Amino acid sequence: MRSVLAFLVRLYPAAWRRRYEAEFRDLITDGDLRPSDLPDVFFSALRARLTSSGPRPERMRTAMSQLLQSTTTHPTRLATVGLVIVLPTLLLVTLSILKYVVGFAGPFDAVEPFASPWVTSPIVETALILAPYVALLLAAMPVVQLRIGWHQSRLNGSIAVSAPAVNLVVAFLSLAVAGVMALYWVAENL
Amino acid sequence: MARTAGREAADAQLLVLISLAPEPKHGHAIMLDIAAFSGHRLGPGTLYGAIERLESAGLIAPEPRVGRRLPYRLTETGRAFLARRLATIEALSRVGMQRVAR
Repeated sequence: MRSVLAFLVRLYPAAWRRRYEAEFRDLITDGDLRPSDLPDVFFSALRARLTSSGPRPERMRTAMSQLLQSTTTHPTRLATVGLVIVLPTLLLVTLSILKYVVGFAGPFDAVEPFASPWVTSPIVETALILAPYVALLLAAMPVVQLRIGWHQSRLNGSIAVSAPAVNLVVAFLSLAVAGVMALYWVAENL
Repeated sequence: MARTAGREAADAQLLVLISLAPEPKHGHAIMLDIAAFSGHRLGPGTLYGAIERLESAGLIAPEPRVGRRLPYRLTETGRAFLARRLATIEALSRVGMQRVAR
C-alpha cells in the first residue's frame, strides 16, 4: 500500500510536491497506514489540483499529461491501483459463484451481514459495477500504446504493445469479473 | 458533497490548530496527537491539505528542520484565531446544551 500511496503523490501539483512531498513521503513511510488512506490521498490530490494557482485549462492539461505519462513510466503501479479498485467486486462475485454455482454458501453467508448495508446503497452498487471497467482501463492503458502523427503530408500510426505480467493479470481478472456480471445480468433480465 | 468536504476540511484545520497549540510538531506527530485527543484519525491527504491551507493563511509556520522532520508551530495570528474559534464553539455549545436539557 505504501508504494501505491507513493505513486498517488505524483498526482499532486508540482508546486505542492516541491513544498510538501519530502515530509509527506516520510509520513507515508513511518505512519500507520489504512486502506482508507488510498481514496483520502487520491481525492486530496485532485482537490489540490483544482484549487492550486494557475490557469485552470493549463492545470488540467498538465494533470492529464502527467497521468498519461505515468501510465508508461509506472504501468505496474497503475495496475495495482486497478487491482485495489476491482477487489471488492471480485470478492463479491467469487463468493456469489461459490454459493449459487458451487453450492458452498459458508463464505458468502459469513460476509453478507457486513456487506449488505453497503451493497444496497445506489452509489456503492454503481461503484461496484463500474470497478472492473475502471480497473481494466488502468491495467490496459500501458499495455497498448497508440501513436498517431502527421509527417510529410502523411498520417502515420503505430501500435506498441508492452505487457507487464501484473497488468495482464489485472486486465484478465477485470474482464472475467465484468463478464460474469454481464452473464448474471442477462440471466436475470432476459 | 462539496459542502461536506468543506466542513471536513474546516474540522481538520481546527484539529491541527489545537494539536499545535501547546508545542510545535511534525506531520506524523500531529496525526498521532489528533487521534489521541479526538479519537479521529486524519488521513495523510486530509492532514496535509489542512497544513497547506493553514500555512498559506499564515496561521501556522514551519520551524527549522529536525533531521528529516519539518515541525510546524502556531503563529500569533493562528493562536488568536484558534482562541476566537474555540470561544465561539464554547458559546454555541453552552446554548445548545441548555436547549437540549429542556
